[in-house]
Amino acid sequence: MEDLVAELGAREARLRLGGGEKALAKRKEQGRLTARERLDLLFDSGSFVEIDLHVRHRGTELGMAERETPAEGVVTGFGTIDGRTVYAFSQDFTVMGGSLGEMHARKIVKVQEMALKAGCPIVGIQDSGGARIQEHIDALNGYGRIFFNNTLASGVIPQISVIMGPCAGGAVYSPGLTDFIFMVDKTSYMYITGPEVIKAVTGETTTHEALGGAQAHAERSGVAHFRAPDEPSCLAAVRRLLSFLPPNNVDDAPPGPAADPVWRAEERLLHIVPENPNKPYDVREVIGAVVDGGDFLEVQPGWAMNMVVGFARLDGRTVGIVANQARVLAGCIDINASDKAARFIRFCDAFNIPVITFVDTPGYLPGTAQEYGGIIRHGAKLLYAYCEATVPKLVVVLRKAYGGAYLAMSSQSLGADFTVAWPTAEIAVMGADGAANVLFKPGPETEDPQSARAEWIARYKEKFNTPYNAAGRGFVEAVIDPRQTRPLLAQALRALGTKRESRPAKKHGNFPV
Amino acid sequence: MTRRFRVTIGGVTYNVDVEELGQAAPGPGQAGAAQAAAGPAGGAAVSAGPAAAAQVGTAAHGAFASTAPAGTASAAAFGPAAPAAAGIAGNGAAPATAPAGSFPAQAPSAAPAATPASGSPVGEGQAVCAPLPGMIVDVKVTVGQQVAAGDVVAVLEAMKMENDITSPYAGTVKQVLVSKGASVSMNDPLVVIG
Repeated sequence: MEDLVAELGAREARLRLGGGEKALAKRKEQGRLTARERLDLLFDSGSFVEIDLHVRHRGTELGMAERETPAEGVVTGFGTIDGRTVYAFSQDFTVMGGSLGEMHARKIVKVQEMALKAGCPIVGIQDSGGARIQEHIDALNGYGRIFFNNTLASGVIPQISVIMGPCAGGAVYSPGLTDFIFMVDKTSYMYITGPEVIKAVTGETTTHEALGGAQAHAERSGVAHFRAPDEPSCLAAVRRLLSFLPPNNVDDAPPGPAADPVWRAEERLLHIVPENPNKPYDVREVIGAVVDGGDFLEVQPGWAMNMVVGFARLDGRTVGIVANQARVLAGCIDINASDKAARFIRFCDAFNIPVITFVDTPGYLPGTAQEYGGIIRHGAKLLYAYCEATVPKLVVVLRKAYGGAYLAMSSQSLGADFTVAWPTAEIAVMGADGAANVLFKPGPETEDPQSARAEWIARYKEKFNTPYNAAGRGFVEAVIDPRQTRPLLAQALRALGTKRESRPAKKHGNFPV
Repeated sequence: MTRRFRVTIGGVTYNVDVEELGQAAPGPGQAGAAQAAAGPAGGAAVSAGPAAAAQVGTAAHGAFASTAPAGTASAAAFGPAAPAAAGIAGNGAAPATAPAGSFPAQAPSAAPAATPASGSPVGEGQAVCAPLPGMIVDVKVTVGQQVAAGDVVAVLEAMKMENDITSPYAGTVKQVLVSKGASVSMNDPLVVIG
């Protein structure tokens, strides 16, 4: 027996070396972690259990018959993160460039199915040159099965992709189908067609980093939700994100520390939002003052910055925050902002995370670029996402809420459960100048049309650019002292803890994409 | 990729958008025009060959056609016109025969005044551009001043908001291209940081 166990040990040690000592040493030289080191950092120390270590490829063509691929170039298994079970796979670049063959894919598919059955989050660490050409159509089928499982798991368990090397061509669509993508500066790339192909086909010259690096996707395309300077901090960020998330669409997220008193009235809130509606401020200061411990995890912080989204806790419970950012593009809603908020709201709704919306927007961003870019269909996503969501929806109107943008930002008309407005709120169909352009008609007897217009505007502002018209109709539940924002939201969240809202039975809606 | 040039002709400044289509096949007799465009701008601005030269002509025409005198007379972004111009150049026709190319020669000759734009690292620095069309209500920096990334360089009133325009780069202010009261279009360069 001892001999057999010793032989097992030797076998496993050899397989765990992946592409071999030389290849691993080269990784280290480049300052990169190996597939297994990444998992060790991601999971609670010593908790990761590897499965399918002995799986072998079945390729016979193009020299595959004699080739060994330890663990098939991907490490799969499960472990705990902050004591909660999470499943994972991590591609090993030292084994045939992390290329995805038939059995490599089958290992990923299996761990996806295990995570789905157990109702636990799955983290995929991507570091692969792409499909293993030697295994031709079997490799392609492998990608297809992974995509299929990504889609089945969508909205059932949180799926997180961590890009820690190349991820090109069809391979990008597994991360693309998951909920959150993490990228690392300078070492991770994602694109459908790489710089070489682009150069050959269109003559355009670009680089891996400029085309598909972390910065490009965190700031220009919006593909990446989080960006980290190096691999260890990236994995720490994954752990932090998971701390906010429930394991599946039925169970609750773990409660946060109860250190911050719910009744905390915050003096700061009197001074963050300027009374003058033309002055900008950082809405994240408002969010920080309201949520537990000021702890706010912003999602996609570098893209569509005119809309701020992210996770926080209130009264210990995970909440999703959506807020207009007045200091970027004046807080206008545009194509990217709609896209960003809509996807975030849908994630929250799928996983029973209440949504708190902070409103201060002058409206939709005007311009041909927006109209030709399809702001109608993209903007519709935001409306759809709010209407569709059945989680508790709380709203704080900080300042401007006009017209269509007022409706889009979780208005009561779209099913908001609890709306409060600060005294600075201006909830109206349109601004005073715009209204004057349509409604103010100086008669022939008007002596000074200029001052008459100014007077008309002043009267309009006094009457309509306030929260009291909306409150008079019951469209906001209360106009509040800003300092009471946190206690009131917390009370409302408790009151809505048992909210039930059913919708017509259907296969699925036709979400505007 | 679109590049923007500031061209001063007869004391009037125009913004000219040039779309770079890459290395098109050189048409006969076009190399000179291409170099005229590329040369003065330090070789970095227009590297696309004849197609680009033809477009400079077209862009200039667009600017001339506009009656607005200020720096906001941005040539219309290239829609269908650009491929048409490129196609003609590629077929060996002179730029002047391009439908819109009424001023093919002047634009390249004015190219030394070109200002790097859109944050691309061209020439002496990177431009901080307007994120929205609006009016400059304050300029917070002067030439030679040091700025850190995140510093406010100008205040732009747009959408009824006094938007702080911050520099994404750290460095020295090389050029200030706008003054208080100026109207700017989206993506107009405001200051250049080097």
